[in-house]
Amino acid sequence: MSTSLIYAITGIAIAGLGLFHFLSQRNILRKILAGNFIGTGIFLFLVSSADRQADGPIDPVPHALVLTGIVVAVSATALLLSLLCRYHDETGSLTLDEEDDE
Amino acid sequence: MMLDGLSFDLVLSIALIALATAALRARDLFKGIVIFMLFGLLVAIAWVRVHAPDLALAEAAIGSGITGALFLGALSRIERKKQRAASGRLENPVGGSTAGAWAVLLTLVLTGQLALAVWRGWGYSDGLAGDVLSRMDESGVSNPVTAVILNFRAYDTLLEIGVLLLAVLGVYVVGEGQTVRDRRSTRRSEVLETFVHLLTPAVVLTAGYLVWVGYKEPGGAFQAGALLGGAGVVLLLSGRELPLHSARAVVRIALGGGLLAFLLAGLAVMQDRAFLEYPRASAKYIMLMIELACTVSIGAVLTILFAGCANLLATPSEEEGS
Amino acid sequence: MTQSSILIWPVLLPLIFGTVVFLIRGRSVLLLSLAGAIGTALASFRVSHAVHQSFTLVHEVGGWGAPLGIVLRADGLAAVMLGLSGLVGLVISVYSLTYFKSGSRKQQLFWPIWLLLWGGLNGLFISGDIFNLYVTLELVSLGAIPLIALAGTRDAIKASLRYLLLALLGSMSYLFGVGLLYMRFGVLDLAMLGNAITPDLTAYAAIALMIGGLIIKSALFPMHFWLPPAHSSAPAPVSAALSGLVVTASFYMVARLWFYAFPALDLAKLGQLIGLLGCGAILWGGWQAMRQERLKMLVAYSTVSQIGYLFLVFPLCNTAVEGSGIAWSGSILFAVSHAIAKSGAFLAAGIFINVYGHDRISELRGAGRQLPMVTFAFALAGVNLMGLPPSGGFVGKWMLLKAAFITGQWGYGVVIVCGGLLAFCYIFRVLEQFMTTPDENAPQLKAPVVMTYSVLSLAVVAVSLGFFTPVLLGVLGVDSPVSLVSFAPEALLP
Repeated sequence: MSTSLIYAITGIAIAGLGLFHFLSQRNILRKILAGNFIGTGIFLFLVSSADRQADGPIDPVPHALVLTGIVVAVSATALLLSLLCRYHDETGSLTLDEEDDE
Repeated sequence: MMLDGLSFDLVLSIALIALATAALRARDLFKGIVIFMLFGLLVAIAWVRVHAPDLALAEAAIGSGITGALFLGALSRIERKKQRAASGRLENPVGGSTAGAWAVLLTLVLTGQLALAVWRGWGYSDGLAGDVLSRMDESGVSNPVTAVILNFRAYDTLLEIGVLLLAVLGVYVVGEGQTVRDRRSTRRSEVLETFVHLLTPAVVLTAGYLVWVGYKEPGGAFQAGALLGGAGVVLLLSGRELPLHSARAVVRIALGGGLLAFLLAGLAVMQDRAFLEYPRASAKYIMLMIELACTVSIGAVLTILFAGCANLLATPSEEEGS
Repeated sequence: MTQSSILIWPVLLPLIFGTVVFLIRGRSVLLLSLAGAIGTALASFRVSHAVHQSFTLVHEVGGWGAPLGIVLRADGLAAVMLGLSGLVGLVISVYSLTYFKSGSRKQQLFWPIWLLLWGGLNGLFISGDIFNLYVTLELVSLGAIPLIALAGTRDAIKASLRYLLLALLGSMSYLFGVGLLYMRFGVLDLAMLGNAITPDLTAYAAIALMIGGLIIKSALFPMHFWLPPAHSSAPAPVSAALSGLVVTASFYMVARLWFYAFPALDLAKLGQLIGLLGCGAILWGGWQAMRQERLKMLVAYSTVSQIGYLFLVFPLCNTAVEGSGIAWSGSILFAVSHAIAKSGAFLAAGIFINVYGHDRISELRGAGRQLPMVTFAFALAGVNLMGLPPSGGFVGKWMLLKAAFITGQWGYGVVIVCGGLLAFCYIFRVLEQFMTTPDENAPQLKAPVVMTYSVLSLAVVAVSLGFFTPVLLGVLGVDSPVSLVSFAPEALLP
């Protein structure tokens, strides 16, 4: 068991937690938050995998991939949140089935 | 010594999982978001542990800071209309329902399988570390991560700047042209004013330094841009009027300039080479120019993304339609 | 400039023009947008032509080459897709010239987003790197969603919210798969990965994640539920781009990975599962299309159904079975003709909405008399969707059917035929309404000229695509993953 493997597995566990809440929560704000946890979990796995050779050099490629991933995640989050706010302005609902939250 | 490191890692991992659970299960969404930001800071520490200081910076600034600000902006906008209790109803899917049990089981199986897949596939390949290191001297920089981002895989980065531009355009589509009746005037505090006055030049200087230092050490356009974006968010929160609307030419130039500079730089070197194939002698300066333009754009994009989530793009007056 | 440099232009031109039309304002926006659209289409056609004339084009961006850098590749498959996006993209652009009110906020926002999205699509088609594919896919998704929201209605906002949530899940899943593959095999280049990959748990987990994510994005049954509201509530040119190109792009990615990166793995069982989902899509989408009250919803459910056909290639094209290469050419041909016909159908529906102010099918009686050209165009697109000769839809379906017989999987053959009958019913239901004339003296209505002729051109291409099958197969044959049956009309007979 090495440092990087511990964090890789932790990343997967966090992504799993995020996925579960993404699927089970109906509140969209909570879904978006859960989506961010999925993302961070995956990034944690990716970054840790760059350090997988105990005495080898650090692989910079996953680092670059994760940087891209972080930027994509913040873009999608911002778009989702502004869509959600507009949706909430118009329907007063925070879930995708409007009826029960009106 | 070795044991100490590993036990630190184990403790941090458990803390991360606990914080994630706490954030996702918090009854009060505001609390959940704050925990999410705290979680981001701890993730940054984890990334230092696996030798990724560049990403630790980016995660702290973008993943935790800016994303958290986006959430808080959206939440406060929603709560203006709704009671806090109603804005974040937490479902309890595990409570007895069979569907909930299935969901738990499914997630557990999936996560377990993936963990096993990682475990089994771990340590087989060196990846591209060797290839990157052996050609570092051709890249024009000495930080391998910067070399990958701006040279070896610069094309990805270019498209990613395009993704940012699209996100901002999307926020304009959704947020502009709306009208808002009750724009809450932010109270101005003198302490904050002074702070902001001092902050702005310091942030700009630090951002410039981050771009420059990115050639040797952790840093670069994304981290610097995130810093600018963070400054933009603070300015907006302090009630400062910033040009935000797409009708303003200066805003559009700040937003689109990075992508355009990147594209034109890639084209300019294309005489007898491939797209984005910098001549060895000037590679460093071309990359520096691209990075500076992108830093400004990233900062502007992040500021406006926040403005969109916090409803600052809407027109405050009564009329004005689509 | 090297010969392979022509490969980068279908990506660069729309990105440059997209950024520029965002920066400027005023009358020149429209002019520059049109110039960008024509340039992009020409650049795409030039690449397709060059591939057809010679061989696969390769462009090493940054000059590094694989595995360190990103390599762009245009083989036969990519060339067909580039040609498709050039044609459909150009027509959508021309149609949009007059669709949005001149000088309006919507028009100003539409052009930069659409051009960037188009650049992302072209980048996706020529990408030779699994992570670069992810970035281009994000460019496409984050372009598509604002364009839906541009409609501004409550339905559109809701649909784009739902779409983006699922798209985010899909792309995360894909990214996770990329990470696993890189961890295990150490490369991102598609061709190198194809050589390096070995069947083990890590590889299969990665494949499940990537294909699962892409299935969400391509709206394959039962992950289709986000599609009809999204595609029907968007502005008409956007619906056309979504149903015609965006969905095709995610399918293309699955096919690209399946046949180029994972050929060393035994995916027969997964193929059968996807085939089953495809059958579900064909029947469910067709059935729902028959029950729709609104024209755009009907066309959108028809997309759900036709996506099912595309995915039949995975169970039907089995490299071990002689002659099953016909499923490969059949499904690509089907994808091309569906993209063209479906864009045409959505653009036509946009004109009906433009003229009548609604798209309730029962109240569009007599449209055939009032808007004869548009109705004719819609009917031609419909012929393609039903799969009647000589349309591309007919040839594609027939090839898939033949593959079902060759591989002895008769069940798929039955579904293919049933899906065709369903398509016949839902298209005929619309045409019947159009053709009945409640009022003999109903006045001829004026349809917007540019829009009408752009729809008509697409519909004519779609319906005559069958005649161009040899050309298409000629292009597709360049570095094809399976041996294609040389095309002769007799080859179509069972």
